[in-house]
Parts: sequence; C-alpha cells; structure tokens
Amino acid sequence: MTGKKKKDMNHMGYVFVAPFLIVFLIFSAYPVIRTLYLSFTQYKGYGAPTFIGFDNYKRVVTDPIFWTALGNTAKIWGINIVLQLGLAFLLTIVFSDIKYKMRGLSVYRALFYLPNLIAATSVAFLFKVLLDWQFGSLNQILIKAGIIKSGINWLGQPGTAQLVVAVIGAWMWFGNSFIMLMAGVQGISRDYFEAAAIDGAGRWRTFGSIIIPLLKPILLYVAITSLIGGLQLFDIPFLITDGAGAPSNALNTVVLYLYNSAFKYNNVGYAGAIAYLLFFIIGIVSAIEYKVMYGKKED
Amino acid sequence: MTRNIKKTVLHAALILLSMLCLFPFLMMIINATRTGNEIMTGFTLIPGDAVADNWETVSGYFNLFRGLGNSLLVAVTSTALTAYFSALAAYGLAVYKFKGKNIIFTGIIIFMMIPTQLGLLGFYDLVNALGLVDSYIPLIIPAIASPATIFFLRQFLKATLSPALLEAARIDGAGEFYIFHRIVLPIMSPGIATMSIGAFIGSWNNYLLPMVLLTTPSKFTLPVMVASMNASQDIVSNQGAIYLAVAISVIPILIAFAFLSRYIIGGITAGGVKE
Amino acid sequence: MKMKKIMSMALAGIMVLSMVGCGNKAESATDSAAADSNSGKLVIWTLSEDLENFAKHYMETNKDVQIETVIIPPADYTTKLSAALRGKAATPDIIVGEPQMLPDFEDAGYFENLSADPYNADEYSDKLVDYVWKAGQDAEGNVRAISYQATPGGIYYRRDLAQDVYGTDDPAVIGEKFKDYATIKQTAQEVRDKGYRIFSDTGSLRWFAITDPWVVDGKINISDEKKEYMDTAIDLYQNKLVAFAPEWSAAWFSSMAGPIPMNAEWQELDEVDANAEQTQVFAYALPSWGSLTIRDNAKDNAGNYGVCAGPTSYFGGGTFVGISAYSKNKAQAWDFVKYVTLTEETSKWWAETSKGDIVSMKSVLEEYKDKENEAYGNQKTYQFFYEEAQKIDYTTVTRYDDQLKVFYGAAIESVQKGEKTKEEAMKEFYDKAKSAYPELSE
Repeated sequence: MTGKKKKDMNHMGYVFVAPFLIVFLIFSAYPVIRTLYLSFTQYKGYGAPTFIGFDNYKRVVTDPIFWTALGNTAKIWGINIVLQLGLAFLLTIVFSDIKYKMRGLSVYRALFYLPNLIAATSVAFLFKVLLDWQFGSLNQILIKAGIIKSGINWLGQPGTAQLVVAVIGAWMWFGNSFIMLMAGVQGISRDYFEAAAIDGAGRWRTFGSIIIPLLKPILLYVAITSLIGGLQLFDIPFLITDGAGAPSNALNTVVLYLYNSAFKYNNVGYAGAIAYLLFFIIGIVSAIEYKVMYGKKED
Repeated sequence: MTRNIKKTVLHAALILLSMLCLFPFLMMIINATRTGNEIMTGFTLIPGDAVADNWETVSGYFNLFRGLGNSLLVAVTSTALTAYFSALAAYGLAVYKFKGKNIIFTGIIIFMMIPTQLGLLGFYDLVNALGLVDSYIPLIIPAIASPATIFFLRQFLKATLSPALLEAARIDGAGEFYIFHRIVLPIMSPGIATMSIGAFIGSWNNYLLPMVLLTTPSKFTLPVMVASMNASQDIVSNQGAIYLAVAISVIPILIAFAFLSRYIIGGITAGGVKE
Repeated sequence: MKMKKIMSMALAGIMVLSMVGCGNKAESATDSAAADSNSGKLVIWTLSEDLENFAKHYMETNKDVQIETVIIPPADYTTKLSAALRGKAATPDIIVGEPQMLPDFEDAGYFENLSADPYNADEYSDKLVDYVWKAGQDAEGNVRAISYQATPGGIYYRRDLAQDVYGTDDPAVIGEKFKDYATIKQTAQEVRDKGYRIFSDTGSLRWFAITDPWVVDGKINISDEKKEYMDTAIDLYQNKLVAFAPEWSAAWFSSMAGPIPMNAEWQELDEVDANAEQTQVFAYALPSWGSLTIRDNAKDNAGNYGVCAGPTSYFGGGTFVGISAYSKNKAQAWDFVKYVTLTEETSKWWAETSKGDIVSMKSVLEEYKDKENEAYGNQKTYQFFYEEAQKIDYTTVTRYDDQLKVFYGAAIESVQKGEKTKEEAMKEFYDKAKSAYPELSE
C-alpha cells in the first residue's frame, strides 16, 4: 500500500481542508485567541485592557459562585444525558430490530425531531406558560387527575427547576441523538444483522455485540457533543429565569455566569478566565470519555 | 401473536411520545388565534377568533415576509456552505495522511469545547475591522468552518467508507475530486442531510449574532423581528401576535425539514456500496 | 440506480441557487434605497416604541429629516450598543439608557457631553423635574442624557377592598397604612383577616429600599433599614400574607381584574380553609408606568383603584435620551433630543398620546395638576406623581442599586423558601456582589 501513486494523492488532503482552515482561522480562531489574551487582563469592555497576569484565574478558582454554577451545570447535564441518550438508545433498539420490522421509522423520526426545530426563545416561553404555578396547564392537569392537591411551583424551587431544565433539554435533543444513532445503524451492512439472526443471537445480544461496537465512532460523537453542549448550557436557563439564574441560584450555569460577567457586569477579562477554565474542564472530561470508549488512542 | 401485541404496545408508546413532541406546535397555532388576555389566563385546546387582529398587530410592526426572505437567504446559503465544505474537509481528514492532519483534527475538537458566547466581542471587533457590520456576510461565510459538522462527518466516513472502494476508483483512473463528488458524496449524503438539518435550524433560529450585527430593520431576520416585538411595552396585548409570528416563522422550517429528511429516508448504506 | 438521488440533489441545488439569487436582488435594492436618502437621516436605537412615536411626530413638521427607529429588547440592548460603539460606529445617532445603565455608558464615553458647546443643555435645567435632570448627569455633573418622562412610584390599591377592610378609600388614610415596615406588617394581617393579600408578592417591597445608599465609600451598606426590609419580606411570605404571584406572571396580570387562585406552596393544606383557595390582591407598588399597566389589565375593576404614597418616595426606570459621541449628524440629533425632552408642546402631546405617561416637564405637570383620572376613581393622579417626583432624593442613588437589589432579592427568596439560613443567604449575596463588582467590599 505504499505505492508511489498513493503517496502523491495524500497531499490532496491540504486542498480538501484548505477552505475550512482559512475561514476557521479568521472567524473562529481569532476571536477565541483574543479571548485568551483578554483573560489575562482587566478589561471592562471599553477603554484599554490592563495586563494583570493570572489574577483572573486565581480569582475564579476561589470563586464560590463559579463552583456552584459548575455543580448546577453538572447536575442538570447528568439528568439530561441519562434521559436523552436512554430514550434515543431505546428507540434505536426498537427500530433496528429486524424481527419487529417496525414501520413508520421516517414518520416517527421526523416527529421526534420536531422539538428541535423551535428556537430556544420559543421553547422557554412555552414552558414558562405550561409550568406556571397558578395558571399552568401541567398543574391543572395534575390536580384534576388527583395526583397532587395543590400546584407545584416547578420553576420556583431549586430541585424542580433543575429537573425541568434537564427534561426540556432531553425533550429537545433526544430526537437528534436518535437520528444520529439511526444514521449510524443504517450505515451498518444488513449482512451483519442477518448473520446474527442466523446464529440465533437475541435482540440484546445483537445490539450489544454488533450494533454498539460498529456504532462507536458515532457514539463517541454523540457523547462528546452532548457533553460539550451540556456543559455550555446557557439559553434555556437564561431565558427561563430572565437571565438571573434564580431560584436560589439553582439555574445559574457556568456559561450564564460567564455571560453575565462579560455583558452585564462588564468584567470581560474575568469572563475570559471563566471561559478557559470551563474549556479546560470540558477537555478533561472529553478525554476521559474518549479513553473509556476506545481504551487507547485511535489511528 | 405475542409479537403483534408487543408491537401494538410499542406503537402506542411511540404515538404518545410523538404527541408530546407535537404539542408545542399545536399550542403555538391555537394561541396564535387568541387574544393576549385569553392567553394570559391559561391554555385551552379551543381556538380563539383573533387571527385577523393578531395579523394586523404583526403587520403594524414589521413586514414579516421580508423577515422570512432575509432568514431564508441567510439560512439556505450558510447551510449549503456548511454541507459542502464540511464534507470536503471531513473527507480530506478521513482518507488522506498528511502532515499537520492530527493537529488540525485536534484543533477541531478543542475549538468545539470553547464556549462560543465569549468569542462574541472578538468576533464583533473583527467584523467591524473588516467593515462588514450590517451585512449578511459574517452570518454566512463562517458557516464554511463548522468543526462539529466536520467531526461528525469524519466519524461517519470512518464508519461507512471502505478504502477498497477508493482504491478501485483510483485504479480506474478517477481523479480525486471526481471520486469525492461522484462516489463519496452520495455515500455521505445521509450524514450530510442530518447535519444540514441541524445547520439550517441553527441558522434559522440564530438570534444573538444577527441581533448584534444587523442594524437596519429591513435587514432583520425573523428571530430579531420577533424579539423586537417581545420588547414592546404592550406585551400583554401583543402576546397573540407574537405567537402568530413565531408560528409563521416555524412553517418554512417544517417545509425544509420535510424536504431534507427525504434524503435520510433514502437510506444509502455503506453495505449497498460494498456489494 | 443512483440517478434519482443525483437528480434530486441537483434539483435541490438549483432551488438553493435560485433562492440566493432572489434574496440578493431584494437586498441590493434596499441598499441603494438607503444610500439615496442619506441626507438628514437619524438613526435611533431604543428600548421601547415610545421614541418611534416621537420620531413620527417629529417628521410631520420636519419633512426633510428621515428617522429610523430600531427597538432592541432591553436584555440585549447593552450588548448591542457596546458592540457597536466600542468600534466607534457612526450608525446610531440617538441612543438611550435607563438610569441604571447610564453610568457604564458614560464611563465608556458613548454619550456626547450636552453641557458643552454648542448644546449648553444646562440652561434648560429648570424646566424638568429635579431628580430626572440629576439622573442624566455623569459623575462630573455634565448632562449626558435627558428624559421626557418621570417615573415616580406609588402604591395602587383597590378602593372596594379598602372600603371593606377600613371603611374608607381615602388615599391619605390608606397611605398611612403603608408608612413604614412595621405598619405594613400590621396592615398585611388586617387585610388577610378579610381574606385578601396586601401585595401580589414580597418583591413589591424592594422599591422602598432606597432611603440610604446601597454603597458608601466602596463598601456595601446593609443598613438597619435594609435588614428590616429583609425581615419584613420574610415575615410576610412565611405567614402567607402575600398572594405568591410575582410581578409579570400570568397570575399577577389577572389579579388586577379579579380573584386569583391561592395555592399554598406547602403540601400540608389542612390549615388552609376552603375559601382561602382564592384571594384578591389589595395593593401594588410600582413606578408611574405601572399605573398604565394596572389600568390596562383592570377590566371590570377599571376606576376601582386609588393611588397613595409608600414609606419612601422612589422612582423606577425611565428612558433617557442622548446623542452618540460618534454620530456624524450631531446638530440634527440635538434638535431631535431637544424636541423630545425640552419642548413643552411635545411634552403635552406625549402626555395625551400615551394616555397618561407622566412627563418630566414641570410646566406640563403643573398644567395637568387638576386633571382627574377615571381609571383611579377620578383621583388627581398628575398632582400625586408630581409631588412624589419632587420628593425623590437622588443623592442616595448609586450605580450599583439595581443589581444589588436583584442579588438581595434572591437572598431574601432563598430564606423565605427555607432553602438557606439568613447567614448563608447573606454570604451568597456578598459573594455575588463582589464577583460582579470586584471594587466593592463587605
């Protein structure tokens, strides 16, 4: 395989990657690197930044609000990911089972994806109305059904508020995860399934020993992107609490704190430090995820 | 027998789940027909009769069709760019071995992890320096560089593309771009379609960036228009109108979704290619 | 075999291209239209549609001037304005701010100095209510922004409920029931005994917490008065003396028109009697713009409200108008600002057009003094707000007030709900305050 022709072709890689790389360096890398510079300065968003070394970083690691926010984010993400991936997996199993031959995949797939089509602003607005303590439909239904005696203040208590945000996230994204997993399954040759069926492998064994290993690259993608998306949780808590992170700071996520620091309190340099600490944490967790799934480095 | 019962139960569960997903659309459409005061006092399934009034309110603020056109222009072009150039880069990263490849790939992963909200200030400075404020270019061109899409498509190729196929094509004398356009793109199309839907929706619903970058009202995209309405003091009486505007803004997405999801349903699999 | 596929892809491509083509055409058309009318054009960036109305009115008499008003949601306004003006953009000519936003905008140099030549705004200082004038000044006393409105606060109460509880609806008598925190607590109990709730939510109390400054010499100042505010809020909440309907919630809006459900948040309901499932809200504390909100949502209760003074004279919000330091059309912009804020006819016109917004022009307030307000039982509301506006002490106001009040409110809330002890909540309050404003100390 080390023929001359093949080697010649490899330089084509640069051509294929070039458009991406150029735009990426200008529009993505530059702003992010500028943020890195700002994280070492005291900068209010106007005037000139003053270089202050590691002060912002020293401050953020001892900032109790940062750690509370990180804890909140982790908690919400944890609940969210279990619900979201659990549901997506369940659906994948159901639809990839060649014995059931479930019909209507395309219809269901489209329906499950629907929540993802609505802008976060609308989703937040909708849930605020639905979960309203006095007038919300959910409480009205639960009371009528005799499940609860009086309305639950879903968004007013730390525990339920976090649960609500996690459920909203799962509701918005399970269809997306499902489509990803199904796209992967459809990429697997039917031969494997038929061979498994001939061998008499059960549903769960087929799933465990064929689908999961072959889906690994897609699974890794879903796991890492949902981790990144989850730890960067921002818009729903922002919109549902009018930017404040109430009740009792339970919905104050790291990126919400970052956003408020930068744009509300004008501590842009400090926000930069928060951004990079969060990035560092996401990096570590992603690396662990990668290791767990592959055991060793790929390629 | 039991299989049929099981299937029925499964379908029932799936239908229930579907209804949960459809509910907000129903709610949006019904509330679009009700007055603000009716909406404020809770939700019912019975439509109201205020569609015309709500439409009048919306029209009083904006030319909604103008917003639809603007959003469509931005979303369609940026989705097309994301789809094509991400596929290109993903292929480059998946099949060729060249110097710096691992650095680029690692860079992609790293940049996915940086919270984007803070890049905003730097991004604005850049756009301002380039003289591109109040233009669609900074909303469209950066779509070429979508690390998440490239990452996904690379993973997708790793799982579906057979190296033997490429070898065979090369032996037949096919050029690299010919291979990419005629052989690889079709194989990737389910993955591209999946990511395109996401890219289109992301662009369609994008609020913060157009909000900050666009300054002329006639250039506003739909979410910016809706948000301006939301900011109005008459929030209660506008509630129905806001729902109407949101409902209208979702329709093109539904159409685009129906259109694009066909490509996934086609289900071209790697298995088919290997035969 | 894949022909179908390729065909449909090509089709999609054509569609996309044609859409792009259409869009481009449409866009270039507006570009040239915008370029043609460049002369005498003003661009306003604002928070509400008020200025759009002013602009339309202005253009009626100044036909050669073209004004474009962009309304930006308050949550995004600062971000958008900072992004543009940090780049010294010439685009907005007229910019606005609410009082709490102004100090940052002033520090950043966004506002033109209106005390300087050729504006010399100071010669108009007698025309407006004093506190409004002061709010628009920067730390050096230079005028940076001016407001067409005054936003003094009051307490709006239901006259029928007042009759029921106290046998009178006289604003002077009811005002006495709100004269300090201790009296408010007592009033809350008396109102509760008749089955009503004094306020929709304890958030109503926050307006009064300005009798002494929140920050003194860089130190956060939690005075006895602020502690009393916290204790009162906790007391009212835990004794279920408020209706648990926060401002701007659906329940809050509908409480203005009639009874709302009174769902106790606690699960043990045995102690709550059956007719306590519904309640009515006795009073609302809001700045003058709130009188319009209540009027517009009162429905059957229209005319059934009165307004009286609270424990302190306060204000809240208000749109202050200034000129961007980077505007290229400052003379025209100043003419517009003068027209909006310093012209008597405009002020009168606005009072009429807005159907009751309280303007900042003293002569107009004076003129409307005896005007009776139907929505408030024919009370002379202009007179009331004029008097309140004159009593506002702007020296206790600091740039930190709004945000510290939010943090303090959050601390109160977590004690009310029993999630934190007072000490824990206060610690979090100081943490948040110092994180937002590293220059402050405990």
